[in-house]
Amino acid sequence: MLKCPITTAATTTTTTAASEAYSASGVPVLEARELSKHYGRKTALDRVSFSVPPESFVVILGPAGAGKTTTLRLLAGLERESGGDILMSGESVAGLEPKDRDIAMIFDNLALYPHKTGFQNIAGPLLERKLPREEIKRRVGAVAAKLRIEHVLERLPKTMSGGERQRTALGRALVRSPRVFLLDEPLSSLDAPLRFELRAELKRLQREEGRTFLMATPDFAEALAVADTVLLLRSGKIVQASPPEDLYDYPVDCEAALFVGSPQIAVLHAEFREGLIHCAGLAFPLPTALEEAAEHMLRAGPGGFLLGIRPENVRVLFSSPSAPEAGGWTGIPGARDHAVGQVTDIESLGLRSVITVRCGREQVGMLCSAAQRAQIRIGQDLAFTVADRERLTAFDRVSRRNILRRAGGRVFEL
Amino acid sequence: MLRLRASGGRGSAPNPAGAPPRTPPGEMISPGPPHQESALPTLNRSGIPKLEVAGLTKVYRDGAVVAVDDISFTVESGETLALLGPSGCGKSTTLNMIVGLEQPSSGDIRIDGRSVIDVPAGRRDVGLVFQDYAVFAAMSVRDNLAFGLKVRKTDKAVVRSEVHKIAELLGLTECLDIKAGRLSGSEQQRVAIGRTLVTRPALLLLDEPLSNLEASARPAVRQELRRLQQELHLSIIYVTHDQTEALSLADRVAIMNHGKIIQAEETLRIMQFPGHVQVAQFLGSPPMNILRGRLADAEGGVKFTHAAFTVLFPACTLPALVRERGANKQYALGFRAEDLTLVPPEQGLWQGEILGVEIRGGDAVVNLSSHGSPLQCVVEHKLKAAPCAGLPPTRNAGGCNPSGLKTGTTLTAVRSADGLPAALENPSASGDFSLSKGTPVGLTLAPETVVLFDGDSNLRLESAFVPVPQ
Repeated sequence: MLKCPITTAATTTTTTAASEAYSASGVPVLEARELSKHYGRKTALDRVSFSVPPESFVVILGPAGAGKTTTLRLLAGLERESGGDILMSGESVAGLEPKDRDIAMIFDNLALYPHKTGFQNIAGPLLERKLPREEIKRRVGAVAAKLRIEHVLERLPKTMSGGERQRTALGRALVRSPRVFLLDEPLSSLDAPLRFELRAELKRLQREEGRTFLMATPDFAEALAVADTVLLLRSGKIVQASPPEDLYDYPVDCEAALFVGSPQIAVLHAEFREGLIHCAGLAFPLPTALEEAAEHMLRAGPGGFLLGIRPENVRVLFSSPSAPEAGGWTGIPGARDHAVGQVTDIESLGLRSVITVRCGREQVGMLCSAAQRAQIRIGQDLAFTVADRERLTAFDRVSRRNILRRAGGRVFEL
Repeated sequence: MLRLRASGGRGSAPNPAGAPPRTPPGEMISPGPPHQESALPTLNRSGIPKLEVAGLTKVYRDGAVVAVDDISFTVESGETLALLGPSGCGKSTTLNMIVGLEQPSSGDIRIDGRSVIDVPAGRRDVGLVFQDYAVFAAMSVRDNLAFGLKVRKTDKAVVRSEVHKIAELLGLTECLDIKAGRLSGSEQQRVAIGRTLVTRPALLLLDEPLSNLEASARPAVRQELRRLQQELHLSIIYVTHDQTEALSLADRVAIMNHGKIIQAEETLRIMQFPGHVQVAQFLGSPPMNILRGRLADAEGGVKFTHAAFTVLFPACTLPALVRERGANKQYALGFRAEDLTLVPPEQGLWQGEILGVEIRGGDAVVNLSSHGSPLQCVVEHKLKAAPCAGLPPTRNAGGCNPSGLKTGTTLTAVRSADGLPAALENPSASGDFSLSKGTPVGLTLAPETVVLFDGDSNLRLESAFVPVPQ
């Protein structure tokens, strides 16, 4: 256990330095202003605005069909926007050909030339530009070292492992130094372990070399792992733009909450009356985190509001329900520190499991350990409580939007 | 989503208490027929495994390529076995041989005790569901479901009732007359599974059935599959490269690599006690940390000598087994990222420095380097009041420090007991910790959480460090 806290001075300094460097450079590398794209009567992208600061890793997160690829294609100049403007380093690139935009785009299917060696594959883009031989050698060598594939430079793709091939393909893109890299689900066709390895690699490269990445992915875990800022895209609109932790802890609405996080958050009906929040058989005092929402909750009356509870925040209770391990709000008149539901599903995550219980009309998920799992059977009654009330979120019942003011990040206005 | 009758069957049948993950094969059969009138495969209670694979081998190009290398395993009646491994490890080839799409080079395959090596693919009584659904897009859901029965020239009335039963079971009743191609991915996958189940195969083979689904649709489909397993008492081989799916659906997991099964074991046991370094480095997210070096008893504990550093594990001794093997043996130490704790450098058993942080939501993975060896540690992260406060919106990303964490982010370095986020176990555990790149940290680890492997064979040793009461 951590006894004496280490100061956060280092963090603060780096942050200041980074923001100063940013101010010095002045303008974002890439900026979309009110960008729209229509296909006939269909709107693929609806007045989307965001910016990508230098040396940042921005991720566009959204389900299939949200408009991720359309956004990247517009930025790259592969398609013409129906409205809005694209700025690079402050200047409009409207009407510029893709090759004149100084952008590199990396796709899912990172193909290699089968008859060319690793070196020739990586050197491809440089050979096309007729760079001096020595310069090419130096740059390919540097990229290969960064990606740890120096040993495959003389080999043909068919003799490489899957990971080496994917790295070589990445090397082919990274050997250039454009102002910004656009990555369209670059890792989605890979096996999980390789995907985890390469996404860490991407993040490392981006950070160490000070490159600027804009990546599209449908995978929230990937977005959280690498992003400085996540743009949550839904039906052609950016609904939330925030740092990854905020996306998880302060989702803009129920849909965002359900989309980000595995096992999934439970969204339950709740009511606030007589100073207590009543939800799924629990009744507990208002947590500080939800104080600002109190008025809204009261106004909602008996119709109530929606409470978001993440499974890691629900605790299984085995001993007698009012034991000290329960929620810690016993003794308050009217409070109920535990609820009981029927176990409907048990999902193993490896060492831990997710237990789903039905409580009236509600389903609540909770994480438990292997030892606890061994004592639980489908169909039995199980008592549970909320571990930390401060980590709950509240949504409006009708609009399903988060009630908290700070939720949802900031949709960039320009 | 999936509307299943809640009455009877596995749903309410008690599992034998105390069995750690799911019940062992054989014990899963509940007394009495689980369903009187549903499309149930008949139960096999003879004790003969549903499937036996013995010495199965497949070589290509006259032995130049060994795709499957002498593997043996069984699937008991009502059991789900996951074949888990990276692309190209031979799992799909294994499946193809069981179905009969490929002829083994050697070895035997027995279904219900009968060798099927010479039985053609269509007559092996196995159902195969592919990754890409392969439903007949232009046909209605009803015709898709009926297809397998029609080609078997089943009586029309039977076809109709069986199709209705399976549609009800899979929640497809509403869309029986819709063309299958117009359904969503997860609905198409349900049609594909239903089309296979309607013929009541002895063995169901699922080849990465969820890979083509959106990530957000997968948990619900996994839950449906678990209910189907329980309701229908299916015997399943589930082929996947995704350990989440394997762990969530299988009773046992067989890890494959380079054409061989490295270990086949009950789901929880294989997580807790990986039998091989390769398994330890494959399972878990993140997988186990591995450090290699020598071990010796020392004053006050066990001394571990790595090429670049030494660690003194306090208050324990070496197990007799290790002592008997002598001092010159190499060992691999395995320990979970959840068990490694970050402390101030001077308090650590050994030292490292932070390389980066990956946020996962409720917690974060810290990537570390310890004298050149990569290690991973899981910490819980909690937010302070206002991340990136005061910065104008467009500067948000620019204002973030290079470690990927923002000003005001507190990472609470905690030790996890029992695999749970420690804040649940011990809400008071906290401490501010800078996790920017290059920060030196101390590392501690409880000796009892270390798993010992032989450094040469990479096999797990049956014994571990012996705690000495102080």
